[in-house]
Amino acid sequence: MWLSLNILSGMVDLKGVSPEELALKLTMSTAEIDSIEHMNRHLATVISAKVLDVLKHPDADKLTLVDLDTGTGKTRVVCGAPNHKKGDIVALALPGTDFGGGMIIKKSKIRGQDSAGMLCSEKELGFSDDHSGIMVLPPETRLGAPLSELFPEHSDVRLEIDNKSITHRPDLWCHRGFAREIGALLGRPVRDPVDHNLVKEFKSTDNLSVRIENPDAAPRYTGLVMKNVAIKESPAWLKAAVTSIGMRPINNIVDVTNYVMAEIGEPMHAFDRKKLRGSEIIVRMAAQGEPLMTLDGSKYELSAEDIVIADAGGPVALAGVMGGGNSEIEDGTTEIVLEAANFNPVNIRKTAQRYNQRTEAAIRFEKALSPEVTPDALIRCYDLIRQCCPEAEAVTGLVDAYPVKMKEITVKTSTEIGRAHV
Amino acid sequence: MEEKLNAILAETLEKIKGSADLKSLDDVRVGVLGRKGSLTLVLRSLGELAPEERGRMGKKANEVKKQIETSLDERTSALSEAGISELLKKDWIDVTLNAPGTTRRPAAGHIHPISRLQYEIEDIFTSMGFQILDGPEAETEHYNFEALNIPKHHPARDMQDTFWTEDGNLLRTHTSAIQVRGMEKVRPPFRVVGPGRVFRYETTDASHENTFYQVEGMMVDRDISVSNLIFFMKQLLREIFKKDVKIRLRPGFFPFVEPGFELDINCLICGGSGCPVCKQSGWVELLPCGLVHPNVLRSGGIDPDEWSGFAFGLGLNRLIMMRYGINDIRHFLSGDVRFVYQF
Repeated sequence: MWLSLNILSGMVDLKGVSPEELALKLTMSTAEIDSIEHMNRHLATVISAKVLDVLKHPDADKLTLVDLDTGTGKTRVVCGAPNHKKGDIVALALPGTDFGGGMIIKKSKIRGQDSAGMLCSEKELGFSDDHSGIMVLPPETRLGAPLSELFPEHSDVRLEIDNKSITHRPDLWCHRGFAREIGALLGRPVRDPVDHNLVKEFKSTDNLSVRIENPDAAPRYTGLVMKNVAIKESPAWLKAAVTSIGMRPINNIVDVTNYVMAEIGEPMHAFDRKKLRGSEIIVRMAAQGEPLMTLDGSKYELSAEDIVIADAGGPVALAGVMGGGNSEIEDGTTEIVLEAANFNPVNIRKTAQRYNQRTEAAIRFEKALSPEVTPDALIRCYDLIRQCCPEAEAVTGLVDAYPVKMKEITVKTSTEIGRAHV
Repeated sequence: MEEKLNAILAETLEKIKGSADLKSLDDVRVGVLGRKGSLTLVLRSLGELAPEERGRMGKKANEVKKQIETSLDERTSALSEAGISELLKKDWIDVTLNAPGTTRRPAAGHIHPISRLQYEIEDIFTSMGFQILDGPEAETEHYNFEALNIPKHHPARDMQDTFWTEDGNLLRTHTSAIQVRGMEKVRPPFRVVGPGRVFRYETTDASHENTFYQVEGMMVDRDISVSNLIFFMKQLLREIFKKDVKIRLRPGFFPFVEPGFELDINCLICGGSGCPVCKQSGWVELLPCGLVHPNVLRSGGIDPDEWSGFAFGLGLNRLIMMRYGINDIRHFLSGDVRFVYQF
């Protein structure tokens, strides 16, 4: 599992603690850190610079000579991009910048003209797939600043946790859990990213209901309907965060659910509300041989030990493992049902093994998650979806089926007990 | 003359077929092709014929001679092969055996480095009052997993890929299987070690084997704490490496201990300053250990409120690799005596 220091910084202050120190502290007190990875490390030597003049290259039609103000001096590079003009602020990779894969920027002559660096496209910077021209920064950008400072979301550092070392700690399968550990280790306060006041904004114009048939298999199921949602590309910070935690950005809704899983530890799913047949979600055991096609196109004949999420017309998701193809959100989706649920770890483990689907959701559920976190996850999802689509709104309250509330467990301990063991 | 030649040919071929050994075959050859042989005489008389007749008969005579020779050759090789196989049957020697009086001798047995280290470790623990226990390599699920606080569907089972038998038993994945068997035999307070071979269903590479060796250790007494564990581990490492070794404990998860630790030793290659062997960290992971989980004590019929203990598992292959700088775990069971003889 990957831990993003950017995400952690949202919950606990990491100032003055290097990634290496943090990794050592965690290894010695909590869980083994396998590696430390600096995302887009090259950004440290890519700086903002202002285009002073653009001249034609004397010996090449498609190249230009670009004079730049780097804040501390002037420099000239040869550039092949079509879009930059006098006055633009651009990203200049200084000589020595290592983009990986053997691409290291050097001072050189291009067709006889000196070039002291490279102007970068968003793709070269690692920000997006845009390679149509060089990236133009906002006009107010300070000159000579490394892009690692200007774009902290793209300069994340991530720690790789040895998953085996947290097999017994379901609370540590997320950033919030690690933030609590780090807070304790550093003696710093921990901020909860979940703003419970947001529940007050929820309306109740949709009549979604939830019924759990077998509370042993599914102790809790909490849903939330949102409408006026627009499926689009995620904002840069979200795409960068999703990449940091080792996933591929898909669209704003899927990225938010994945982000919340990494942040809060609760695997989430989003259905297209309009594809659901009826207004009741039923959490039940599958009928032996019942067919279901999952999101990835795999077709299954289910076993009676599998848990499914169903509507009036049949299964719409393989609970705790993967959503169904028939209820998947797509580009035109405007209303969604967000799911945060809790399932019996043994059922999920068996199902994931039976179909060889060890998904991020399944590896968390099989560790026995707390059913108490489902509202947190939905509220946080609502919060982030509103940041991506400000016009989106919640049209139900938390639709919660929680037939048997889990008893709180009190663990008594004392310094005497600790001392006797050490 | 032509009839005479045909007669000689027919008669000779018949005789060749009828000869039962090389000796009689040779008699046939002499009788026909010898200095006074029947065919030789015919050839000599060719000169008496008319010139045109001589050419035709000469050709014919040569054909007959060639046919007889071919037949003789075939029969000779058939008879000599038969002779050789006959000889092999009744009179053979094994030429691969060493002749008496030469200096080559059968190779003497040699103690495998794993056995050597195992005996050494057994001696170290025996001198500290530990008793040596054994357990079966084919185990039940109970001793290998359930009694060690690893229930059937616990994710911790993923940590050890297992060879299962068709009747639901398994090849033990760790010598920890000896723990509960031990507790059934000896009552606390006790100190035991259990060395042995363990098996994992794994793809092999330079650092992974499907068959390797461990020594399990366990001490149960009143008020056993992590301090006792550290003392015995330091003692063990001092004896093995013949010097004081710096160690550190960090948290590690193993269902049969609580708290559980990974014990790291200061890298012996670089002395802790960082090198490729320790991945620049200065520390090398050596053995998992911890205080015996109360559930495991209960499985062994021991009251965890009254008794406590520590346990550890020492990987022998890894330890030998560290001691001698061996870079591939697959050497141990390669069956190559050139490897074994170095130790």
